[in-house]
Amino acid sequence: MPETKNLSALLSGIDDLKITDTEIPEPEANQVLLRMGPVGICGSDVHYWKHMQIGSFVVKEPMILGHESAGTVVKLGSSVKTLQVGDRVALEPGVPCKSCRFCVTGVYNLCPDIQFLATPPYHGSLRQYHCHDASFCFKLPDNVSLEEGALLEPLSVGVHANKKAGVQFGDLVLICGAGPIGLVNVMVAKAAGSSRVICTDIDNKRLDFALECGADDILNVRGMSELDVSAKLVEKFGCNPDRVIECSGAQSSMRVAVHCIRPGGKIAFVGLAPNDDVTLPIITGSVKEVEMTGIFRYANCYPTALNLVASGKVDVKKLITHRFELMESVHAFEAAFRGEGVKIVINCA
Amino acid sequence: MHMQSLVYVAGDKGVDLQSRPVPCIQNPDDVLVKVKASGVCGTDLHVIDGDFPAPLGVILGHETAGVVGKLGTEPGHLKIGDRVAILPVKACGSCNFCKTGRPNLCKKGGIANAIGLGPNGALAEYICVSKDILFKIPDDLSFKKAVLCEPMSTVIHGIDQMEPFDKDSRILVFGGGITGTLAASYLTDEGFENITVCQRSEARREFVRKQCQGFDVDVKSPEDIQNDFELHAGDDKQGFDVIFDSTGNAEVVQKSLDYLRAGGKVVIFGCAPATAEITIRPFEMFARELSMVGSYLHSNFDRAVERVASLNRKQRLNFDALGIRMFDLESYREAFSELRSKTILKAVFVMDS
Repeated sequence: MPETKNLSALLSGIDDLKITDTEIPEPEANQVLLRMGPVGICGSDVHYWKHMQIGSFVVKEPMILGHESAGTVVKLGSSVKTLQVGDRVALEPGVPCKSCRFCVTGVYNLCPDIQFLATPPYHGSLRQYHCHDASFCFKLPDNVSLEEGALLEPLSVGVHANKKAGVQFGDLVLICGAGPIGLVNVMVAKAAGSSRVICTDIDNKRLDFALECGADDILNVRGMSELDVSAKLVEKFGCNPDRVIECSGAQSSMRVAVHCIRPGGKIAFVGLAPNDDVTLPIITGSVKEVEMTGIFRYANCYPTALNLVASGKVDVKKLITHRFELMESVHAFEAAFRGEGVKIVINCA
Repeated sequence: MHMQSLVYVAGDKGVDLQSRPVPCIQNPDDVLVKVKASGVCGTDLHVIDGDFPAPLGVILGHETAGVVGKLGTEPGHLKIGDRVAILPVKACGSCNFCKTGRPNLCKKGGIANAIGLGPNGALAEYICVSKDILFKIPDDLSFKKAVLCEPMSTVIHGIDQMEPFDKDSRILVFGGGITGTLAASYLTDEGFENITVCQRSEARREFVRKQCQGFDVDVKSPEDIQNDFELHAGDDKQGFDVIFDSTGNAEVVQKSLDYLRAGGKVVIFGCAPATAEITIRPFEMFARELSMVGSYLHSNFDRAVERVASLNRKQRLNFDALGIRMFDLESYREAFSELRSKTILKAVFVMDS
């Protein structure tokens, strides 16, 4: 077996994902070099594997995948003071420019120059060794595993969406979609003190799992008309819900959100539809003075996500249904593509 | 290569014109800027008088506009020839304050790290700074007017700290110096109408009146303010809803609390001496729901560039009206003398190419 330096899951074309040896990167002054551990697969990784592009992001050069990850610090850049060798950290994958008007006003998720792992042209962290900005590495306390650290990434989407949707104590919250993103939103909505969380989907297995993740009730909407779904939800809640976090991206589900939300309520659109153009009953929404917000990734959510896991308020471990080794990455991706399980994690260590 | 620069020196002189080496590009994100116009601020006078800490030998100047001359290896979106204004402080970008949109509170983002007060400043022919603190200015904004972006940026932050307040609010700006005047200009530009500016000297009151001509701004003396307050005892014309203190005078801040109406707020924008103290009566704060809030350094600089450019297009940045005079570096003694005697509100040094 020839000695390898840095085995990496490198995407070179459609369906062309190979474990390839690459150089071990040298950390810049503000970075740390990490020995990577668990890396979760996200729908975007699978999409790049199958299409080599998402919207205007096109993979033009071979790109290492993976952005939901955690690892151990093995080397410090020259100006790093916040971490030490041996620290186990979760990686927040998007490092912004830190100086544009979005960055300086605290909404760095909107930075046009953000370097996000495994979004072209930036390599991801599905490799044995990876360098990352130390201020975007979050040290894990002893009671939080590296796998839980990797799952802070999708959990942060849930934190951000709940914050922007304004979920508060006592709220009635509808979560549309019971995929991993719907599930983390269910978990965060419950942790945020909402009094009732109902989850919708078209798959019974996923919905049963939503109950295990803390949803108070579920509804399988397959085959139902939008207005029937809306009426059924209002019946289940007892009234119109205060907040809707839409995670499926399905037009019908987005329309249900507008129909069932209470006047003055707030909808957060997390799920991305297959097409940019979606039809919404806007007058229904307008006369109810509904607020709608888009959700794009997260900003300043990792500390909260980490606290939720470290305190035991949220259990992200249960989301991991499949585990693979780095050399088996293609199998992992195939399982993800078939829609098996909830969260598939690849171990690089 | 050497350049002329205004330097902080010890003793009575305080400031001297000296030759210094042109700074070099050292970091990948460094940019060498050819300074076109650079202003002097009240803080610079305090430095020269020994009342405000700064390293001896530092090149002064933190209100600047110029042209991008040389680029490092990572210039971001900047190009040679770009016309830029300079934000004097580069915060770290990585701490919690920076990430949550409050870089002015970053440990590295304070005054001690500002150009002209820590690192060398821009009262010189060239300055080398990170691209992160350079902001392009529109072609119709002259360099000398763009010098106002820096003070405007602090004013905008102060007004942000004052918010929320509505269009009917009675607003008092203490201090008719450049920042008080810019605050009044900003507020009138935003459509506020109940604005009073308080300024001790009649000469300065004239500047404020000229600058705010055509707008509903009352310019008064401290005695007028006190008389009005007593005159309107008990009626709804007494007192103010928001007070913006730009004087840095502790006694003025103290008086502000008396002049606030119920629910009112005072913004402590001016920099008082570090040891100055005032007395607060908790009962007053409680019974009338008063607020006091500090304002430190800048809002995000893009907004200042936009506001200065906008005021300029509306012909509201006339330097004569503002009491701003231009000088060349060689005439620095005259400039500082006029500043001290308060015959001008600000001195702007214009560099010839």
